[in-house]
Amino acid sequence: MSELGPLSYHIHEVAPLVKSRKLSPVELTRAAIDHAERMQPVLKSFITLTPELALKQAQKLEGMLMRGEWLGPLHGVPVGLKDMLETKGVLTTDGSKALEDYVPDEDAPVVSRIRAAGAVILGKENMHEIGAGFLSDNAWFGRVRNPWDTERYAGGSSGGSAANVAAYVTFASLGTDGGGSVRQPSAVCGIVGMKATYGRVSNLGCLEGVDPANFHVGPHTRCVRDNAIVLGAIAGDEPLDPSTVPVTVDDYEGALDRDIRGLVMGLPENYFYDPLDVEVAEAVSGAVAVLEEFGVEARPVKMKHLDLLPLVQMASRANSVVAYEDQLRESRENFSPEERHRMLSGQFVLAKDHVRAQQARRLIQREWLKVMGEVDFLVTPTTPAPAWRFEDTSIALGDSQADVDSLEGSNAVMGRNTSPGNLVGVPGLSVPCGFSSAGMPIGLQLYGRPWEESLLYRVAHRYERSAGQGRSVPPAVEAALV
Amino acid sequence: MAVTKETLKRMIDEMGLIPLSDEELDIILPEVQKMTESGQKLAEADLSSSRVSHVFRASP
Repeated sequence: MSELGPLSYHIHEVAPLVKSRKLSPVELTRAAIDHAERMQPVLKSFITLTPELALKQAQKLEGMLMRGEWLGPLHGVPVGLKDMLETKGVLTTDGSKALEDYVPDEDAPVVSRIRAAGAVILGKENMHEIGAGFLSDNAWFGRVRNPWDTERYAGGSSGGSAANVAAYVTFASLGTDGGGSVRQPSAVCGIVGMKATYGRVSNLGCLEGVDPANFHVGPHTRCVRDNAIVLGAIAGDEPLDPSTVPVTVDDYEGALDRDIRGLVMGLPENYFYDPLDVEVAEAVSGAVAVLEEFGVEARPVKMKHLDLLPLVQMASRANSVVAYEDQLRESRENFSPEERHRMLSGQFVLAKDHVRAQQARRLIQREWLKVMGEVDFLVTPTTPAPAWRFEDTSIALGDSQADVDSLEGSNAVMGRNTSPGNLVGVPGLSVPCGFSSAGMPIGLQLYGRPWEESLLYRVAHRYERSAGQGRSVPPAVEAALV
Repeated sequence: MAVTKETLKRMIDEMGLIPLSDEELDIILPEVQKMTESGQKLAEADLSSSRVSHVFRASP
């Protein structure tokens, strides 16, 4: 831990040191660059590292401190950005060779916001190609490896972002979540990941490889408080983005310590818990028991119409073929075969099926919100299983075996519990809730009512403080520091 | 209703879709068949309480 120096701190710990000029943004950024360069050959977590730009930014921020200007808790803090977020003057590939030369003219609004909050951008992070899967086994930019076991997947599609935060390379990273792509890699890498309410954070300037109507930008961090800080910096109405909604952004950090006694948690009786890896089931049961000890009432609930979900997802294939039609016509060899064929099949989705899928989506949403009228939040496992090994072709879920050898199979397992939240647009937060016997992290997912991210942070913070989720350094980092 | 390779070829030719080789069609055909089944299931589902006008309404 000590060899990580200030990189081992959380954002809320490093912020007062930077503010009081006990820690220099330039020193912090140099340490982060050194560590990023140390870990990159192991984790393959970046597509583009931008050390010169980061140092220049850190020098500017240091100058501001000298003049007594402090931008807030992210001032001088090194962060990463998933390579799906457009960055002015910096390569933005969406994890695809098809965009290997794409350099945007503008920052995505969410990138502008995190820069304006004082964060130092270390680079653009590796991901599952065009964000369409949960493995981040990228044919063009390398397979992202899990810092807890480098022979296992780091999850996806924001795999590089989650791996970087777990490996103490960045203090926070911004990922994107179209079906669980912030929450799922956060869960399997042992960190915190938030997908806020649809419309809470602008998704303008995110490359549209997947369904844009399901698409959210969200923070990965090592603790709940840091996550609240980063969401506070990027949330809010964006005048140029019609997807955002002018709803007041709460003081997420300020609400963390409020009591959770008397809240009601819904435990879905169907879909989310059936089937599960045995150790995931045990860890989540343990977390539910802890919340009950804090005075949270558990109430079984039934989620209706989730059997329609795969049908809705099938129709959404039409989106990526529209987003990438030019590239598919002119240079489709620049997409890996599985992604290419999935996208090409999307041109045969019938308009009537797409419309019916949207009807089904509304139906799921309406019934979901009815349940949320009876409880304050839902508790589910984030993923049915921890990260599996690269060579695994199937995994045990309860008494059954699930095929994970194909993109479709792995997506069905790893996105099962997270993708419903994208369809209904409600906030979802993944927080660590223990480890498997193989030493792999397990995630607990909390779903809330629209715009109630604050309540999820409160619950997760209370759980995190009590559950002994102490800091630990993943084996890949320990090995690299020797 | 079974979708065939010939159906897809005709759709590509007559509707200006992205051209596909025979080999690509062989790979994609099962996926399209799954999509067709999925569409049939959606057609059979009771979606009557979810009106189309509410799905694509203009926001104020």
